[in-house]
Amino acid sequence: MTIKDLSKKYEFYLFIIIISLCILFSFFTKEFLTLENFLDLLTNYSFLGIMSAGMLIVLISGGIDLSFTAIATISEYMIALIIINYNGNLLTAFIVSCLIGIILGCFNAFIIYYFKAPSLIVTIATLNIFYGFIILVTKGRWIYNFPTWFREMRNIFEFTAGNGKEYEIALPILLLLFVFIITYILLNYTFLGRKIIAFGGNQEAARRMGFNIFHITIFVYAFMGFLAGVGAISHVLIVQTVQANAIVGRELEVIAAVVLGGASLAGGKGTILGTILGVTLIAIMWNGLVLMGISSYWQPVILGLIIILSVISSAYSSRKSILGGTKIDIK
Amino acid sequence: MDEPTSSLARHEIDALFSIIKELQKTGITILFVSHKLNEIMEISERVTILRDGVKVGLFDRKDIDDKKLAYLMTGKKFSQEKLAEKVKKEKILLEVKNLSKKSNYKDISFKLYEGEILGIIGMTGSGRTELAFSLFGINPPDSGDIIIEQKKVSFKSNKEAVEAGIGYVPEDRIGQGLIMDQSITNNITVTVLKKLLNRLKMIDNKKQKKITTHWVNSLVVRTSNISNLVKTLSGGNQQKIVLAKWLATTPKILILDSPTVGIDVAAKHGCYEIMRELSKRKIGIILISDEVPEVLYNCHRFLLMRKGRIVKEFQPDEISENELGNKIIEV
Repeated sequence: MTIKDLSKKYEFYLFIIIISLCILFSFFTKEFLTLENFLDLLTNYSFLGIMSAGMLIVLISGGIDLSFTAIATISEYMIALIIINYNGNLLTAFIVSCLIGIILGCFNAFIIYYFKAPSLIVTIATLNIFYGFIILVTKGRWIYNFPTWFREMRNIFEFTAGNGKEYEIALPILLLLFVFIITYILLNYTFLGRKIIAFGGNQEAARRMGFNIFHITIFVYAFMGFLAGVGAISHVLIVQTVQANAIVGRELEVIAAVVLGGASLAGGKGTILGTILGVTLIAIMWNGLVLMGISSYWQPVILGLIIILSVISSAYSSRKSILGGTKIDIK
Repeated sequence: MDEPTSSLARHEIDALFSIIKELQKTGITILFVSHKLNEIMEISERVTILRDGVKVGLFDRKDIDDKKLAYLMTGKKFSQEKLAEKVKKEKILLEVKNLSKKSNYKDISFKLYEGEILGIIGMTGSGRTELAFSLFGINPPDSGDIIIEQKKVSFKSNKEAVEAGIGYVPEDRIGQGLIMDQSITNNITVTVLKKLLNRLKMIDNKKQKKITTHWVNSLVVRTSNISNLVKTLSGGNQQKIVLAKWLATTPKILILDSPTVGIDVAAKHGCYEIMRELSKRKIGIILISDEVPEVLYNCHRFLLMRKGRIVKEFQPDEISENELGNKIIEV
């Protein structure tokens, strides 16, 4: 691939921005460009990354899911219940967490498919249902008495670098990697992935080709739910507490990361590489702002702006394709 | 007026033309932009011809005829001759017996032979598209039989129709056929994803490229790269992509619903060439249209539909353009 080809790609510009930001921040703060900070970033943003992969699939299919934070919260309470009250192991907690995600995701998909209801409204409603339900049951109680072995599970292995410092690779980093890889394979190498892309690009055309729309819808929202389960495990491992309002409210951050990565809110468009870069950009921005001592209330402002810009740009490009989008070879 | 007739039926066009003449009497000047030769010849007093962004000429209506106009528009000469050779009526591909659907069509019976191009001509609202939908499995008939290669079928979905070897090129290629924001490759191979899977059930990119290149070359799609987005192509080339998509499924029967709506004269003839080529390869083609010359010069046989019924079957040499034009709207 030549430089000219590269320069046509959106991801290329994103990459340039990320590199420039890194250089900028490393001037301001010494801590920024260290392996320690890098591993910390990866760990802390693994939840955002995992959810973004799910959101990418949902957005590509032409839908949206806002209920995943509530699904992940329910999963987190179940994880706490299994680990603390039933002395369960991590694998059991993991499986149950994912199963809850899949079931609740299917619930979303059923309503969206059978009632031809807009996914935005349906998932705002289910967000409230799931969230309200978990507050009612748990009374919003915080849980932090996880056993010691659970605390130690956080870091899968530790190593000593050449300079004598000790570093830790956390399990959430591995989960994040796993999620990115399966999403990449799904989108690029599977029949199902290509059907999702086609469906998001043109629903009527997909129907005409004889694709089973029900299967596609179920898969997309169940996958998002499944990743909410995976995200729940990684989040609990990192923070070692469960609280009802820890992740609900972070929906926009995930959507912003994915659309920043080039996915379209109109569906049919998006890549896992773009999403990874989008998440990276958000993580670096937040981290840089914190290290520079800038108020974190800028975060929601920036998130909102990103989403508005994305909507404007897709509206602009669709208008451009109607008005004068064609190029005529004048002889 | 920029292509004001593109979605109008013939009687509506007549109504529009009489309005234009009324407006003209009140002193309003009208600039009528179109690529439909017969309309230009009918309504205009002077004609400016553009080709490749350049003005080719300005003529008085009386100094120019259809053929010269087509030549100046495209730089090519086209011959319009009726199909010379008759189809050997050896093998019946499709037989329809007394097919009826309430408020769509009634008592439809016909046969389609191997390698035959069968026209169905009728105005918008004659039941032609509804009938085609039934053959493609998306508009189940109330009664009657559809028999494909001696086997009676009743499609529950268009998936079954696709599997039975039917391809359907829709009238609205952008809305129902193409995924505009995706590559030529993705659009062409989306119907044959199953064939692209390798032993690991993953999509084989080499095979994908091979299939795409084959169809892009054999239908002479003008593009620099098969990863270009479909929205960058001209109307005629987009139509070729829809055709390629269905040809890739190696259909036995191809239904073309108004395949040349909105594309220029040169691309139209390209499409007719492809139809003739396919008919030589024993594919049975049903060409649905409301354009008299299209049906008259490109079908072995055609059926006239009016108000949901087949009124009469014609051989092209039995009738002239004018007579057929009158027959379509006759009450």
